[in-house]
This record gives sequence, structure tokens and C-alpha cells, in this order.
Amino acid sequence: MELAILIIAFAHVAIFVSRGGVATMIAPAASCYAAPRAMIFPSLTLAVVIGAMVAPQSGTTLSEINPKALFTAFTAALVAYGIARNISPHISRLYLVVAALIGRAAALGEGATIELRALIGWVAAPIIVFILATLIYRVICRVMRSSESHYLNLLQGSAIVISVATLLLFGAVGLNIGSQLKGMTTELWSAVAILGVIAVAVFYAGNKKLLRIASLREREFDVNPQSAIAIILSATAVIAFFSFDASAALVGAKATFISPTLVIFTALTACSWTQGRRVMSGEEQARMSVANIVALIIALVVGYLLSSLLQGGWNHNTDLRSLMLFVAIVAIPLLAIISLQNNMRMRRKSEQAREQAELLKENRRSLNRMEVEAMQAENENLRNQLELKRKEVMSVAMNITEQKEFIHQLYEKLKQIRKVEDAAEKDRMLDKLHTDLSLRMNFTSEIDSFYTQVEQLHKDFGVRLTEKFPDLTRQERRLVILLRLDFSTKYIATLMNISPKSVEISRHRLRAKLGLKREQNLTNFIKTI
Amino acid sequence: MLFFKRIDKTNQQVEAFFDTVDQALLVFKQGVKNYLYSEMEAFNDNLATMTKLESDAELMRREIENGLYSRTSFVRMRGDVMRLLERMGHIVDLLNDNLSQFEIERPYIPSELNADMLKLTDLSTQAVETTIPAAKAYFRSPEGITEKIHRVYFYKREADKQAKLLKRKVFHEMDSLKLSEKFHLRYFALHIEELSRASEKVADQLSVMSVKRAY
Repeated sequence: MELAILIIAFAHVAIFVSRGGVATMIAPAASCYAAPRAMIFPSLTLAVVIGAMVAPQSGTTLSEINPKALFTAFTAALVAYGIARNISPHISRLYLVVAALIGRAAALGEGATIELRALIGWVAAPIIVFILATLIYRVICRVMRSSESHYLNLLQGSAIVISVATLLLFGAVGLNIGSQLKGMTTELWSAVAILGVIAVAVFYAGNKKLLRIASLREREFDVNPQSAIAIILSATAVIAFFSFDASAALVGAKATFISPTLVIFTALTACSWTQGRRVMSGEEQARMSVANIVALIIALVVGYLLSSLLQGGWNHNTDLRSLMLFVAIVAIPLLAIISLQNNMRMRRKSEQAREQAELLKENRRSLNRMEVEAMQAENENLRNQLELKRKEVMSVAMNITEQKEFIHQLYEKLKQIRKVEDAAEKDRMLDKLHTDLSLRMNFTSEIDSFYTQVEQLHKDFGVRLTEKFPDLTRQERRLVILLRLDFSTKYIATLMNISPKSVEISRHRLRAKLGLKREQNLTNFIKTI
Repeated sequence: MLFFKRIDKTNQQVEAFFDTVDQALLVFKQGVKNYLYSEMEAFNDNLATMTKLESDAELMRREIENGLYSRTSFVRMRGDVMRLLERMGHIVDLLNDNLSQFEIERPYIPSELNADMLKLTDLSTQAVETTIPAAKAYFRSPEGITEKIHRVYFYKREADKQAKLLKRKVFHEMDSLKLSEKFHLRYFALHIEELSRASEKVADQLSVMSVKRAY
């Protein structure tokens, strides 16, 4: 029963710790290499398990822990992460758990179990990884440049190296965790650790959400194969380096937990720096640093307070208690306020974004409405044109009928005239026919129809003309329209059934009525109405 | 090692594809020259060769694409390489289309324009020609790309100038030509000029690819 609780507690902590880390560990490879991802997780988790199993027993950073310690560490780390993530989401969760356990150890009077040499390791790891990543990147670039190989061959070679290096990275992480857990406790704990790692492995194998997180990370890890190899190899080397007491002692440190997120981000920064570009802005970097420091402090304080409460009183180191109380009274409310402000700012931002989206939607809606209105107006115009055409067709048809009828009548009348014997009667009938033909030649109905059509086409102009010059007669209005259409005097004379001279006189009268000066052009003036 | 063998086949195909583009350029230049000097038999041979080269290039491009998809895993690089090949393939299409249009439309080109037309063809094809070593450099020595694509931009600018000169000559100095003939000549000049524009696009693409390869 105790073992089962231990495994569950451990698995919870391990999942919390590895949640961001696993995605970050995959990201360099995933950003440039498209191996079937369904195959990645089982093999990578297996690498972690194997790493944990073969790990040597190292001097531990922490003293022995139990389910209660795990619970305290998990809760404190969760609280710290929850608050500090408002500043930046890039926080090393592993260090939070460690900080919470240190806080707990202090609360229980075990003294700060963290050793200076472990601290040296935590400081040395990013520095070493930075130097190593820069060196590896430069070497790879030089090798690729001097190589006569085709680029596709180099890519294929890189794919193999990246795959193997990623497996090694996961193995190194397993080694690091395993060595610490084995050193931390008895054989029972080793079994728990391995079973816990297996539980995590099962949790992550084929975890779709993690794939999504990994693909989100790809934005930050937009790197070429050389960088990916340099990042993965340097991170692997550093994590493995700090998994053994013997190797860690070379830099005056001891084997300790190393956050994969931290070393990978540092390696990425190193590669980007070598290429002369920046991974993230100065503000983002500052926020990340502040978030990590703040989260560590919160985890330490919450771990201490929680353990004290669980132990049933404040009966430990008084100075430390005073310090912790001070931090609890001043720092936690302060952080809560910062967190609250951050939340409010985020809310305001999202509110602004929503308002902007709403405004955009509204603009789109009005644009749609305008488009619909324009379309309706266009349709109306087309309908009018159609109506006009229909009338034209009707008019042509009626005209043809009328002409035919007239010609038929003419034919009948001529037939009758031919039959008439009396010369006087014949003259009278011929005179009548002449009159009829003269009348017909005026084309009154056609001209009327023409004016109707023109007025229909220039409806707006007609309205403006009536508004501005209401005193114009029907004949003058027609003249205005014909002038606007640029018809010549001769043509106007035919259409108005008057002589060209009369057209000139009508133009003169029209100028007077419109109040034009001598130098003003009549046609141009009409066009401006 | 099997992996590398399969990739080697794709590499060879890429090289062969670029060689085909190079060959198509030579045939195009020869074809235009033959048309201008009314060597119609030789021109028809050029046209037949060009059609074959175009279909070969298309086939090769498809095979390379298949190879890239099935044998490589670097999505971004793969996409870049395929885009480059598509752009080069488009140039071969343009070459074939242009030569076919000469055959179909039979534009009337006055002999006094022959030299200008040949110069425009030379400059445009040289712009394309210089993209080939630049494209090959991407696969072997990317540091040489920048230097090579500068030449592409140079020839493109020269081709632009020559095309303008030719069009100005046609419209301002050749009064004996009908407007329709002038338009026809302008249309052909534009088509030949289009080659240098296509080579500029390839150069732009290579420029981006070289930056991506470095970072």
C-alpha cells in the first residue's frame, strides 16, 4: 500500500516536472526533422527508463523524502508555478520542486540540505552548455562547409544524428534523475523511482496534448539542422556530466538535478548568438529570469510554511522562522498583488482584443451591408435598363405594325384613286393623300418616343434641370437635352421639326432664360447642370 | 547506407534536372537565332528538341519530388528545394512556350531589329544561365550563392534596359510598321523579357534559402 502511494505521489511530481520539459526536449528535433511522431514518444520514454535504471548512485542534493514530502513539494511548486507563470511561462519546474523540498527540510529543522557544490553545479551547467553549444555549432558548420557532400546527403546524415542525439538526451535525463533518486534513498526508493518513471513513460507515450505543446515550442526553436544537433548534443553532455559525482567534481560541483529546459534554452541562445540573432527580446529574457527567481522564492516559502503547518507548529529555527514570516507577510501578498495586476492586465488585453474583434466584425457587417446596397442599386439600374429595352422593343414592334398599316392604307387609297374617273375628284383625293403623307413625315410619335427614352436615361439630369430652371417650356427642355447630347443644329432641327434658323433663335432665347453671359458657352453650361 | 544510396539517386536527378534547364536555354537561343535568319528547318528541329526537353524536365521534377517526399524528413528544407525546382521548371515551360509562339504566330521581325532581338535573348538567357550555378551552389557550397545571384540581378537589369530600347525603337523609329505589327513585336519582346523576370524570382528564392540554410 505504501509503495502504491509512493508511486502515485512520485508520478504526480514527475509529470508536473516533465510537463514542459519533455516538449522542450523534443522541440529542437521536431522543428527541423519530421520523423513519425507516433514512434517518437515510446522510444524516448524507454530511453528515460533505461537511463534511470542504469544510473549510478550519486551523492544526493536532498535528504530522504517520503509521500508527505512529495505532497509538500508538489503543492508548493504548483503554487509557485501558478503565480510566477504570469510573469513568464518559461520556468524550470524541477528546481521548484527542489526549492520546495529545501524549504521543507528547513522547516523540519534538518537544516538546508542543499550543498554549495550543488549550487555550483546549477550555476556551472548553463555556462558550460553555452560554451559547448557554441563550439559544437562552429565545428559542425566547419565540417559541413569543408565537406564535398551533397546537401541532401548532409540532411539525411543530420536526421540520423538528430534522432540518435535525442534518444541520448532522454537517456541522459533518465540518468540524471535516476542517479539522484538512487542516491537519495534506500533500495525501496530506487524501485519507486523506476516504477514512477515507467508511469510517466506510459503517461507520455502517444500523449496528443504534448505533441501540441511541442509544436507550439517549434516557433521558438526555428533552427537549422546544425543548431539542432549542437543544442541536443551539448544539453545531453551537460546533463550526463552532472549525473556523476566524479565528472561534476571537475568543476568543483557534485552530481545534482539539472533542468533540461534550462540547458536547452541556454544552448539555443548560444547557437542564435553565434549566428548573430536573438531568440527572444531583452524584455522576454528579463521576464524569464525574474519569473524563475520569484518562483524559486515562492516554492521555498510555501514549502517551508506548508511543512510547518503539517508538523503542527513553529518550533524550529527562530531566525529562519522570522525570516520566513517576514517573507510570508511581505513577499507573498506582494507577489499576489503582482499576480493580480498581471491577471488584470491580461484580462484588459483580452478585453481590448475582443473589442477590436467586435469592431472588426461590425466593420465587416457594415461593409457587407454596403455591398448589398450597392448590389441592390445595381440590380435596380439593370431592371430599369431592362424595362427601357422592353419598351424600345415594344415601340419598334408597334412602329412596324403602324407603318405596315399605313402602307396598306396608302396602297388601298392609291387603288381607289386609280379607279376614280373624275379629274377634280382625283385631284381632291390626291391632295388629301399629300396632306396625310406630310403629316406622317413629321414622325411625331417616333420623336415623342425618342424624347421619352432620352428623358428616362437622363432622369437625374431632368430633375436637376427642373429644380434649377422651373420656367423652361417643354420645347426648351427638349432643346437642352439635345444640346447636352452634343447634337448638331441640323440634327436638332430635324428632331424638333423646325428649321436650322429657328434652332439658332431658340438657342438664343434659351441663353437668355438660363441667364448666360456673352462669353459663356451654352453646351458647356448645360453639361455642368 | 541504403538510406544514402536512395538519396544519391535523388541528388543525381537534381543535377540532371539543372543540366536539362541549361540545355533548354541553349536550344532556345539557337531557335530564336534560326527564326530571325529564316532557317525554318533548323528552327523546327529546335522546337522539337525543346518540347522533348520540357517533357523530360517535367518528368524529372516529379521524380525528384517523389524522392524528396519519400526519402527525406526535413520538411522546411524539402519545401524550399521543391519550390526552387518548380521555379526552374517554370523557366523551361516559358522557353518552350516562347519558341512555340514563334512557330504559331510567325511574327514579322524586320531584319534591322535582328541584332537587338538577339541581344535581348542573350541577356535574358544569361540571367537564367547564372541561376543554374547558384542553384547548384545551394547543394554544395552555399557560401557562394550570394556572389552568383548578384550576376542574375545584373543580367536581369540589362535585359530590362535592352527590352526598353527595343520597344522604343519599334514605336518611335519604325514608322513603316503597322500598329498591329508593333504590338506583335512588343508582345514577343515581353515574352523574352519574362525569362529574366523568372530568373530574378529564382534568385530571390535562392537568397532566402541561403539565409535559412545558415540559420
